Amino acid sequence: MQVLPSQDWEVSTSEFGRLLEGVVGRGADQCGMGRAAARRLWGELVEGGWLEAARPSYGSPPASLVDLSEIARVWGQYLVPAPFVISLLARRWDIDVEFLPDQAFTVAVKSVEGSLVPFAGWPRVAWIDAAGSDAAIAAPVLGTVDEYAPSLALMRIDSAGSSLREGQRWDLATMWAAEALGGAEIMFVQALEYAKTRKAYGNLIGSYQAVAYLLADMHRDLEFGRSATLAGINRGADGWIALQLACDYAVSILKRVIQVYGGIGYTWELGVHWYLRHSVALRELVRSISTDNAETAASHAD
Amino acid sequence: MSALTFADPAVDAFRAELRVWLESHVPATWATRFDLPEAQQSQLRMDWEKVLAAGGYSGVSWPEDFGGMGLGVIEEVVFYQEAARAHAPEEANAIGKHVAGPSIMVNGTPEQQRRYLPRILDGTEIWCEGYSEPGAGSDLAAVQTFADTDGDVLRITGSKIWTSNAHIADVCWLLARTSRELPLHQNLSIVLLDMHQDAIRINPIRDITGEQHFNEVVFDGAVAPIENVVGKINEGWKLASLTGFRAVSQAITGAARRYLFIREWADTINSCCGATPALSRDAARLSARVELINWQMMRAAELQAQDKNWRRATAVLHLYWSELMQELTSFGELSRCERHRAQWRQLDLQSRAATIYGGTTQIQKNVLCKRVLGLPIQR
Repeated sequence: MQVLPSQDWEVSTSEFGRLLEGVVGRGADQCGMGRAAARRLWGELVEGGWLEAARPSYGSPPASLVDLSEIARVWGQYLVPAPFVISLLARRWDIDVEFLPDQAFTVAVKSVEGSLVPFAGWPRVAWIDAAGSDAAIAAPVLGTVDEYAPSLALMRIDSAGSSLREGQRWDLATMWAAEALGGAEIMFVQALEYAKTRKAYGNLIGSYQAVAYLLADMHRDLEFGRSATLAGINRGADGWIALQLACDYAVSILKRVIQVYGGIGYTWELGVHWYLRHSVALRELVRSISTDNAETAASHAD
Repeated sequence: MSALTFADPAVDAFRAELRVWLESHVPATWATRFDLPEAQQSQLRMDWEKVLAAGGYSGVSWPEDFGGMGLGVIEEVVFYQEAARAHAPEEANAIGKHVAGPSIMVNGTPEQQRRYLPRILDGTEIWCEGYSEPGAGSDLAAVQTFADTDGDVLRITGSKIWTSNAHIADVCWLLARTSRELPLHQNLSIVLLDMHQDAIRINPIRDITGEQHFNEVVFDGAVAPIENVVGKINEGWKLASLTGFRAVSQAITGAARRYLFIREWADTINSCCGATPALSRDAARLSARVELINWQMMRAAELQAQDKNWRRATAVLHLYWSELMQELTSFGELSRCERHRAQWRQLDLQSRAATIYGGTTQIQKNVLCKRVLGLPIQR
């Protein structure tokens, strides 16, 4: 039973983070990366071999889901509108088709109304469907663009969704939960720094118990969100619920980040809302892909 | 510190052997303990200490030199995971095994170690912790119980409050002022005090459940040999305030000990009280949240070598389990389960203490804010 990421992977994820930071920068106000920039980053990810990191044949032993979830966590800190996570998993699943090194993948997740397809508009994106033998097919995607979370470039289509194996659903839900928490984490860290610099009534806002306790609760939820992801990875009886909890924690933390910033947190320009939208959308994907689809699509409070 | 992980074959082997042992040693009477008066429940816990000792499971992470198994925090967590699985009794001597014992091992004299440690391990001496006072709860350094030097003894005057198990304890891990001149935090010592003295008066305090789990303890010239000071005189604050490895390992074992019965509560809800269509979804969610204590303990235990991350992971444990306890009992009470109604009503009252003892929720958050998040919190 692996509990922590392996040491080698910790080194790799630091390197991964540096790559992203160099291209994207850090901060909510960096949100809104354009498509052209995302494509260029994609090229760097391909060239750096990052998409191959999950292949069963890549290293000895292959990266575990605990390790891969760390990559997803770092990815989630940067809101890059690119289908990295699904494409990474496609190589982990070793799907039975030939494809080029820069091939991007997506899935259709059955939701309350039709299906949701992340990055449906990505050039030449292929749609994974496990019906039969994992054949990936080029998706003729026609649907409605969901503008709510542009960092996921979701399209809502009228379809029954990809047919995925149980293991594939677990992998996706785990990586998306980790990604959501990654976004919550970076926003929490920045809100914490803000509380140590911003003054009100002549005092740092972090010196007021009311604000400090809010941050303490967020830290607690971040820690337990990571444990919830771990619980999901281990696929116990509560595994699906644990992954939904992880997403709930992420969304809840991001809402409180706005609270810490006060009025400025509520502005479009600060950009915290992009992370919140991203996590809310990921939560819907995770809930939809969970076993009890009908129930999870309509439940849970923040 | 153990370098093991939960994936280690040695840990698996320990778990497997323990599981078999628990299957044949957990007393059947524990499952029906809520039908028994508190005194009998207390006796069951004390009997369990002796069973653990006889089986060699009394000091899992105590060094072998001191009679323990010589294992680490990882194996302690495994112990409680398996004990929870087996619905084993709670311990009666947590203060002895997890507070006094470890501190005596590090800070005590060889004589103190010889005198006290074996009897903690074999369950023949039960300990209580003499910390809080009417005027010093959250502000523990402000204690006013004095231990004045009188030749080769200390004479103790003052009183403690909320002292759990004082009525059954043999020894007290007592925090007292050993100097009337030195400043705050530099005037305190830990004294090992024999509770069987006429100069110690124990007044039970009835709590909101109607039971008497804790006490006021009045010291009217109680005596302890001066050799019973642990560590250096007037340097007891660092033993009481807990820092470093002991603080975080106690946070983990503290969570583990609560997981033991919180898991049982959640199982009761899932299998009975919350098994109705209207409640089952919320019951399942609560159960999943209980399991997060388990996963967080495991993460924290494996982060031992990473000081900053270890602190981050352990600083949230008490906060989490204490509030979750209250949610569980509230859920149980609201479920209106006929079979367990009396139990949930009692536990729902009892769990009010969870966010108060061992540092209130507000103190826990203050410490987290200052020491982990680096916030300049003042008021």
